[in-house]
Amino acid sequence: MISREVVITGMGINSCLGMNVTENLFSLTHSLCGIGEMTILPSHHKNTLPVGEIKYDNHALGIMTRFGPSTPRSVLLSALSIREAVLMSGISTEQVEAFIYATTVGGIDLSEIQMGRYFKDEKVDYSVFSTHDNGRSADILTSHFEISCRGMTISTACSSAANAILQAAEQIRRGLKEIVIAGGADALSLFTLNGFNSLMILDKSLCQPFDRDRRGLNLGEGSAFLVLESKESAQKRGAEILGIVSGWANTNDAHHQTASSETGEGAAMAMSRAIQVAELQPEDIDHINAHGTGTGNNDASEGSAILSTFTHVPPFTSTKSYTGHTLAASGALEAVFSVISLQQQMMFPTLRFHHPINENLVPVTELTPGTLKHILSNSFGFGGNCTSLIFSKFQKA
Amino acid sequence: MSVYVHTAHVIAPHRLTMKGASSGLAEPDYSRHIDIRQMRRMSKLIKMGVYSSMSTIEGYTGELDGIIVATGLGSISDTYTFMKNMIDRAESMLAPTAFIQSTHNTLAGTLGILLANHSYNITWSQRYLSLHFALQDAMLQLDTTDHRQILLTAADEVTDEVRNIIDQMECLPEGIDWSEGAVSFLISNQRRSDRDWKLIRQELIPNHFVADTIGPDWSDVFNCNNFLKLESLSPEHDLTMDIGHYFLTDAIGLGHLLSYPDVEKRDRFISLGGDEEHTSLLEFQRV
Repeated sequence: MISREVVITGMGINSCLGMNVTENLFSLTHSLCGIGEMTILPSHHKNTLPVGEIKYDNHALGIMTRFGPSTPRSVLLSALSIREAVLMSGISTEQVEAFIYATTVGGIDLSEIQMGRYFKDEKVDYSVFSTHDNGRSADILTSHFEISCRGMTISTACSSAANAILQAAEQIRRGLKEIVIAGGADALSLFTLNGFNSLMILDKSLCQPFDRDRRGLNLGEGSAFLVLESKESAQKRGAEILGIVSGWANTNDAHHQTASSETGEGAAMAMSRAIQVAELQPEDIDHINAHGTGTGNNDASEGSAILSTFTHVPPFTSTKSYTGHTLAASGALEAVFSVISLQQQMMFPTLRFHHPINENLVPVTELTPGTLKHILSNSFGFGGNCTSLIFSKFQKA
Repeated sequence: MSVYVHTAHVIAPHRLTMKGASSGLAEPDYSRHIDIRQMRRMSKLIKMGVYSSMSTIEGYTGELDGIIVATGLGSISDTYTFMKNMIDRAESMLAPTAFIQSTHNTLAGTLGILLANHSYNITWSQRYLSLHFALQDAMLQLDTTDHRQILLTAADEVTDEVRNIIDQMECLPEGIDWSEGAVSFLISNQRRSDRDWKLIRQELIPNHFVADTIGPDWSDVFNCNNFLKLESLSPEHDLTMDIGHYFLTDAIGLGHLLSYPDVEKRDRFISLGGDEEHTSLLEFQRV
């Protein structure tokens, strides 16, 4: 079986921390939280639920991306981060052999507005529903960027983008593809906001991942994409290699549709298998970008899984304390944050952490320099989906 | 690496033999495979997907090394229910059940729980190419020297409300209804019996190259691409009218072909799926 190294040569991101890699890096290194008052999403919960919202409305995003009205917000956000990733990598979009997209909302931000009209017997623009399904977003993006291959969409709830990166890595490692764009997007929508609110897992103040007194998560929005390549392809082009995707695993907790098992069985299996795929030992992991949503269930379950996987728990953090939980996009956002950590040799603090759940589970609380070679990033979701990815520093020969 | 399909099970409105019949979904007695208490909370999508999955793996032993689901619209009935409640109740006092079940990976997650399966678990949702990419992923997961087997289930549901919205969109040809169904395949990288089908070709080709790609011999070609019209293909080999129009026409068509008596007499056949631009070509050979 062919086994090749999978490298990252481009990345693009937007979140409530900023509209590109530099702005996100600035916020992370200055402990600037992006979560706050809801001003764009037209929800009744405007004054009660803080969100990690991108402060541009769809009209403004449309001008930036040259998309017309009736374009799903997730597509607009994706267009910005794909553009950034492609420009950074120096590839042309015709060279892209696979485009792997991840979303849970698709175009629901637009269809929920039309459904509001539909249920009130007002005039409905039915054409909007053609952008409702998840796959349509990928089609719009491949056509916009003149990517010659067809888009392929994964939807595994909050682990979606991590699985898109995993799929890209598998295809490149096996020699099936040379250059792949993978990532995902989820814009805030009334549907997801109210869904999480109905589950009573939204924090009405700012979330406190891994804190004993945590109350729940804040929702965020954003998109992030990576240009992934075989090392041979990147070196042949003389491209700068930003990091390596060295390990990955997808497992299922097989416990409950929305809750994680107490021991974090699926999570522990995902972490251990990703470490095996990377041909590393648990002690080689220098840092963990945890899923760390801030809910009672996730952080306890993930914490147990970390404790059972590592004899000595590596320094870990939850960057969701800055961005909120960006659902399908979170695995891609946190992949970018992991690569930034490798580049800067810096670990970003978990904001607002005061009291540990367990004395062995204390996250990074200050901007901490470190010798970082391997960072593990976790993404878990509804449906028991658990995915762990390992990003490694590229050593120039 | 070789890929073999061992069994397939279909739940769909029409059997291929019922030409022109236009009936609703022929639903099986779900209680044969699903606990009645669990069934009450399940949408039709989950019931169909679980039933076809359980029927497919029935009698097979050994661990599943992956659960791969393909769905075009996902849990559209629960999505509709939660959205209607959210709008009717102005975002207050909402029950979470429909939201919990609204995610696209609900079926794959439910299968993981019911089968107590911790292995690779993924959901692909790419419109008319959902089966294509799910199958491509299955081949990737089977590309190993160890013996592995994967359950691939494709499922889509429709409700009267959703069908009404699709009708209003005016995107379907006259007289064609949006359809629904589920199909499961047990696939592995090892031959089991002489009833296995070997997948010998899987590719995505532009529609205008399809005729040239498959050559002049039409006898073993079945079209399940709603957007593809092939001259010299006899009507009984164009399955789009029978199966109905939706994102999984090709998946259901393939399920029928793999278990259809006429096809069983063949040594090999080609099944075509896809959309306005590309055709997903699958070629199977009897081992």
